[in-house]
Amino acid sequence: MRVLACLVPLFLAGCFISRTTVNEPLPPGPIEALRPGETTAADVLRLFGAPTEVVQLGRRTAYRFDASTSKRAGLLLLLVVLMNDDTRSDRIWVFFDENDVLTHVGATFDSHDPVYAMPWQKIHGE
Amino acid sequence: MNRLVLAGLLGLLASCISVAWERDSRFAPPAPDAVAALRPGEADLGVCLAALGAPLWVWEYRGDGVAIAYGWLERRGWNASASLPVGDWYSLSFDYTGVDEEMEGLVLFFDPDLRLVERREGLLRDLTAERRRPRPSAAMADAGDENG
Repeated sequence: MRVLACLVPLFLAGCFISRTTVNEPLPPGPIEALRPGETTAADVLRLFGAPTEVVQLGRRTAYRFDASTSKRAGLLLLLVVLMNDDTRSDRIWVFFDENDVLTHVGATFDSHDPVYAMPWQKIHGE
Repeated sequence: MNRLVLAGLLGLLASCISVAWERDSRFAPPAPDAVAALRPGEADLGVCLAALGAPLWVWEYRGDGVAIAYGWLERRGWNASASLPVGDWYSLSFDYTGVDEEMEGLVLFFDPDLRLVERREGLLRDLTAERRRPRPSAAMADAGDENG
């Protein structure tokens, strides 16, 4: 019995949760202000600030704006660690023609979706 | 007594050896129905962005064409690691991951008119090899032009 009492605390070493964010979540509102054929690259920079990446596509260019959130939860047993890591992101890609006029926009807003969970739990509608 | 020693030994080993059961979930996969509806020769960049949202990566494809890549990861598996300090400044370590960490992906290729020409699915690492291939610098390209 005393042996069991010694072993139990060793197998209940601890647990943790942590959250990591990269950049501020992107606001969906300004997307409505983007008008293909009218909005310029300068307008986009005024609305969203500095892009994370600028890509040259022949005569065209594309800018990426993004932010991500990761939620991590773990259970630390003596020799065994159970851990779950869930990452989702907000992303906006804007495409410009050779005159820096907006042609296309793609947006995803998922940075609020990550959850704290254990590896055996179902998440995101599994 | 032997059991107490064993318990103590396990406690000491905990800082050197660990076995982890991990799940890593990154980004949401696109809806299969939405992907199936994007037919090469019919859909264009605007339709694809509206159906799938923003890609992870964008790069140049055959001059004025465009390639866009979506990626996601849903893995669950065991991971074992061990480390042993052998001196003041050195340690031996071992790490074994029993699952493939690669992200799955979908890449869409568009011609210069931004019409979808090809759709590929598989491991994102393989699909985006062209994107990761180093491109010659402007100076090297100029030198190549001068040399004919």
